[in-house]
Amino acid sequence: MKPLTLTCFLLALSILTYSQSGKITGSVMDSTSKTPLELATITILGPDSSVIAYKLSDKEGQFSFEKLPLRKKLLVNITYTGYGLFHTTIQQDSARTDTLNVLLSLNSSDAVIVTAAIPIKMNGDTLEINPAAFKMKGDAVVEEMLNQVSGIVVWADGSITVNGKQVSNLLVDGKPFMGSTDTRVATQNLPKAAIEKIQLYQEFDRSKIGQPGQAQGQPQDSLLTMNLKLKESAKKGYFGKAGVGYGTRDRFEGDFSMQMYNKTSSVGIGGGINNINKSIGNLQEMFQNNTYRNSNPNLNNVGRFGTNGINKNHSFGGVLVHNFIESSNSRQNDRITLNYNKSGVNAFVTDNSFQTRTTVEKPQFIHDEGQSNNRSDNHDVGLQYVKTNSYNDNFSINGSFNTRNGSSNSQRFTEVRDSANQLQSTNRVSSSGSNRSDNQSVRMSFAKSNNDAPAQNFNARVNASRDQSSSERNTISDFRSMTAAGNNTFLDRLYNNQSERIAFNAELSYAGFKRLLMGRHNLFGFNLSLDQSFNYDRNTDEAAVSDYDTTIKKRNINEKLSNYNRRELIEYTPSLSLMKWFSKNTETGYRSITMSFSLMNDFKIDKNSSSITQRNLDRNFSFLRYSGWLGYNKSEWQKYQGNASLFISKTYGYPSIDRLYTIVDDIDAYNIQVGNPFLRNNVNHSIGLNSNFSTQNRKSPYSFNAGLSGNYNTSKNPVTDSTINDTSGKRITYFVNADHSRNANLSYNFNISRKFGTNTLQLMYNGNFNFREQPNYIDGISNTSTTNTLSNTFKLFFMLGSKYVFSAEQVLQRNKSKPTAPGLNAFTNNNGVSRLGITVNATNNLTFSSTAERVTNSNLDKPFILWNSFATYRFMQQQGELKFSAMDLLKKYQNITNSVYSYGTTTRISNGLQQYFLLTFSYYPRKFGKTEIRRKEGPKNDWD
Amino acid sequence: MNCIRGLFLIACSLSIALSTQSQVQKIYLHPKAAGSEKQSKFIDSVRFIPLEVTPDAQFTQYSNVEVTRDYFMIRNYQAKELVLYDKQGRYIKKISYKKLAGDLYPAYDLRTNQLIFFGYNSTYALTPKDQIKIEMDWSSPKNKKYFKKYSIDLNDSTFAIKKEKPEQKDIIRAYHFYDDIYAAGVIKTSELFTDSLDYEYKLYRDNKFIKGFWPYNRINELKYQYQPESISIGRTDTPYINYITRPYSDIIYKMVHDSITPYYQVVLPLENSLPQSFFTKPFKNKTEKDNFRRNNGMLLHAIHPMYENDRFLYFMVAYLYNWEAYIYQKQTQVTHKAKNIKGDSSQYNLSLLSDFGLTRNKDQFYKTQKAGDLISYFEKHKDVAIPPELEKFIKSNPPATSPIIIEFKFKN
Repeated sequence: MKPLTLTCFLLALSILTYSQSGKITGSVMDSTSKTPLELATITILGPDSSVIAYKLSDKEGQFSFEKLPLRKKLLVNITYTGYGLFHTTIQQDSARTDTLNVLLSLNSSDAVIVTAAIPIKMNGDTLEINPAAFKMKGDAVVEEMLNQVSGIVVWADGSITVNGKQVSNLLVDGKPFMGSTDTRVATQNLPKAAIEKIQLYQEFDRSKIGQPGQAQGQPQDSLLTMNLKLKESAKKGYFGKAGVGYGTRDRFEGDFSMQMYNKTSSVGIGGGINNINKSIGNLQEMFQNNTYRNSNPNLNNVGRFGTNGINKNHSFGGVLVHNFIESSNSRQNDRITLNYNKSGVNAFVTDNSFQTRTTVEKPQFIHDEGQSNNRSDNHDVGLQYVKTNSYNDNFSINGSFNTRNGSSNSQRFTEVRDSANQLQSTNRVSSSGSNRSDNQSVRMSFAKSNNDAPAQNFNARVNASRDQSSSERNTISDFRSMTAAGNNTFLDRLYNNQSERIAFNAELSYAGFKRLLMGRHNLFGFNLSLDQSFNYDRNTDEAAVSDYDTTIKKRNINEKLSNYNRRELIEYTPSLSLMKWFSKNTETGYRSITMSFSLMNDFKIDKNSSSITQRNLDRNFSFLRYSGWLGYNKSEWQKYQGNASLFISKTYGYPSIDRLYTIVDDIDAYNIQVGNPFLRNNVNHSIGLNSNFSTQNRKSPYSFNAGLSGNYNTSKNPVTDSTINDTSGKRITYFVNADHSRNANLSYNFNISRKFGTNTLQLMYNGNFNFREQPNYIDGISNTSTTNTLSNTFKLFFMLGSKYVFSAEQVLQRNKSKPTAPGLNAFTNNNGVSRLGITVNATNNLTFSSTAERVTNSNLDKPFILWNSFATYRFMQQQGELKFSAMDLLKKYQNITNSVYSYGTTTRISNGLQQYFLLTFSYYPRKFGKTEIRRKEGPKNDWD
Repeated sequence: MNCIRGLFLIACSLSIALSTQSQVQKIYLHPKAAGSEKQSKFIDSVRFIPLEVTPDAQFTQYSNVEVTRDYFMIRNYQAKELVLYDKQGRYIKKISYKKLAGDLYPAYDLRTNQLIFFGYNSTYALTPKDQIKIEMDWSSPKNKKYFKKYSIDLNDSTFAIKKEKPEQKDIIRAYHFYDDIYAAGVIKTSELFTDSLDYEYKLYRDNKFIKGFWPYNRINELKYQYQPESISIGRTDTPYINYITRPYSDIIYKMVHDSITPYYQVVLPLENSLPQSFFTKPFKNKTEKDNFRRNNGMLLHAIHPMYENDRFLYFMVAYLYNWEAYIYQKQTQVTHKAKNIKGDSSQYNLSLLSDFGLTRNKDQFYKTQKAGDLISYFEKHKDVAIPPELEKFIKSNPPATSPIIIEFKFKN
């Protein structure tokens, strides 16, 4: 707990220091008429020209600033359209209030060119931020500037909210940047000096095109979009990172990312190789993790101690985005995106797991230890083409091609003991094999809506895919029973599996149905939509299984397991939806109620043909089901926004062929599954709730948002397990129907941020609760297993200017499994993680960071601590970086996880990284426009 | 033949316009460099009309006042309510028109002293094409059902809402112009029209077309395709004299009776002027035109004249995706942006030239203000004398949300 105490002390100290502050009040008036000037911009800048605070004068021309830093020379700038600029310096050495009454004179000319750099203004329905009004260090990136804008919160997890609403889309000059709308790549790389202005506006959600009610323009149907408008001189540029590092225990890492863009195209390439479990498999993730931001370094982009085993990762890829039109808006798109990624991993994992399991006689304690070596090699090629002319049309086509090659070797030894610690059985399994899979898919969507021809409004989607896989695996299983030696088994089994899946899905939402049916009649404001869905799915599997006969030293075909199976599923679902909106605009806000109800009928044909006679089964189903939705949305402008919705549905399910006529494989003596041809269909009812609330007061230093969502599901005739713990120790599971089961989950979050000038304090809390009540049979006894998991995470984040970043996090998790039948045992485990992080930007070039993680677990005698520290030095005009990482300084780390299932709990400890030290050199090539922007930093005063 | 006739008329209009161009007064307007000034340089005769405090009337951001023959009428569009006061500010009645389904809003007809609610019947969902088809065949009894019309007679103290039968003038959006003349200035193009000739501005007497101005091809006139437009009229204090402007034109015309001559030309920088291709090259479809409009939001769309006296011309400029109000000072030949004109202490720091909620009756302008704004002003400025017409009202400690009417004039 010491690190936590230290952080609390530091936080308290900084807050105490902060509370000793100065105050300025004053007024702005016309020098001749003494008329108060309303909406004059008063900006207070620090000695490094960074914006400390800014305000607009009130109707009386008055303003007031509190909590100004003491003993610092501050520049006060006052601007007012048409008047000359006023500036003066002030310094307050003690906590007092100074008064500043300013008389501004009109500029001499009547025709005035506005020269004031206004930090933030509304332009119609768009909020515009002027980067030139924020004086910051030359290499500051956009995100650092956003931290200083009132109403904008850059949360510790990288997400951005504006007046409480999350930015869903980030565009650069109206287009996704490097093919992605994620906020991080653009805001953590692009220098503030390259941006002409930042626009924030609500943009229509294209996924709603062609849906009824689109014309109403419901606020909930729009996405908050941030558009970074590049300066004309910065519409061409490149940036990236190349880094190599080597350390003790032969640990190494290499990262490379390079991104180039101009007005119409962007290219990004990236790659990496490491043996420190650092995740580099995905190109977009590589771009997001290797950004230029330095003041709040990404302390998670390091060797991952929580990952199982030692993984040697490699990846290389590229993305090319080309816009065929040079528009700077997001309505018009004609864009192609091509990407390729090669990745692979060579993983070595050893693990020990401890499982508790309830049985009728006495509980079992299962100890499992194993090691495995897995290699994989993947190639992914993707193509996307998007064409849109307006918000009323959308055409996109996505194609992908993937191949996966892998091989694995594993050995596993399991021993089962009873509560008296008597050994009941053991199983030794070794397995080796290889696998290959290919996947090709194409996805197309086309939507159109037309006010002049509403009968033609539609939204169509077509998906087609083909998957092929083949694998070869040899498994040797040696099961020994201590209670019934006659049941010992030794199996040496070779599996050769081939499978192919072809899937085709087409969906058509026809929103013009009302016009077609009712003509010009408005149907009392109700909207009608006729939707069709067609699905074809064909799975062909071929398994050739042979067992090695130790007597004759020869492999024999296993007739029970070798099989050919082909399953065809044809589904057609027409549905009719009825929707109605009630909305009201008031002077201060907006509120609406939305209702919808859909009635659907699933027609299904399920044909199964197999070399195993009883698996030749043709079935037809017709299920009439429904869903309903009720939503309420309320906004009070500049105050808050909230919404709540309720969802209900009824669905049906039917047992799969693999549950009716299971091909019983006894290679795993602890998991032998047997089918049941008498399984019945199940009926499911769901009710869901979702609600969100956020404050939207731009003037308030507080930003608050909270969300609550949950659902409750019940199922009649669910398929469940009847498990027999054989006297020999083997475990056989039969599929059976239960009367009903139910489950529920609830997740919630609560985030609050408080800005103190350029400092930010954030508190984030989220949690979830899962509950499941599953009937089953244990050794013939009817039982209901109740499992629940409660997990809560509290996180505190404090950023003191751009100098210090503190974070503290506490994760608490509790798992519980409880059977109802007498004689069965309940189990509980819990774990907790306390994390602390600190970053000190000692100078513009030198950064120190440290993280500490304290892990407690009910299955560990005492907690352990993972302590990592980093020192980063930037040089070569901030483009070179030397980083020293000291990982697991206390050499105490263990990989441990807890989980829960219907019969008990599991705790797993696996191998992973251990203490190492690593020195990394990185170079950040950066150029925006013809000259390097960061050296040209200076205000551009052409805002209107 | 119609096409040739149309072209001939356009050529005649252009030659007349060019020949008179030299006499037209030019107003140079640079939208980015519009001037700022103190409000007292532009307006005077500020007078307050406190309204009787009643829970029925609350000031809202969008409250505006309309001056009828006998009443001040405060509109609340969002609540679909009207509150009537007599000219001394005494409360008369609140009228709610919530029960009128659809988007029906009242328009005041000075000639009949009636409020008219007219619009499409919300029982039907009509597309722009449907609307043209219906309007083309407006006299057909089966098409009457698509419209709703109600009236409130302000001569009748019951102020009852009465159902009316839509007439031709309602459907073609014609309004009373002068004497027995009605005028309509709606411009639409559609392939549904069989006859290509139409006029941008049309005069009617007894439901009969008598004269048209600025002929255009209503099937495919390039500049008017895909988007309805309208002629803008600015009434003057002198009978039979009006200002008139056209979409995509920088000329303000003067209309005396039914004779039109160019009066002012608002000269904008090249960056705000429409390119020649806009008038000569057709857009492929509505989307392309809409994209052009959004991508060129500060190009001229139309000028709306509002008021003129000897010293000032008050007008609005609609750009393709923005709009602004300006005041042209004739003596200095400088154009000021209304938003940049700030209220000063001689006018109690009230910004009266805001761009919303300003109405005019002859040479007097009216605006509503929240009582709280004035109360707090006089509380903070004890040295400023409260105007006599406000003294009793402020001493009565009215709720801050009570509306007050402010009347003022442009300096002359």
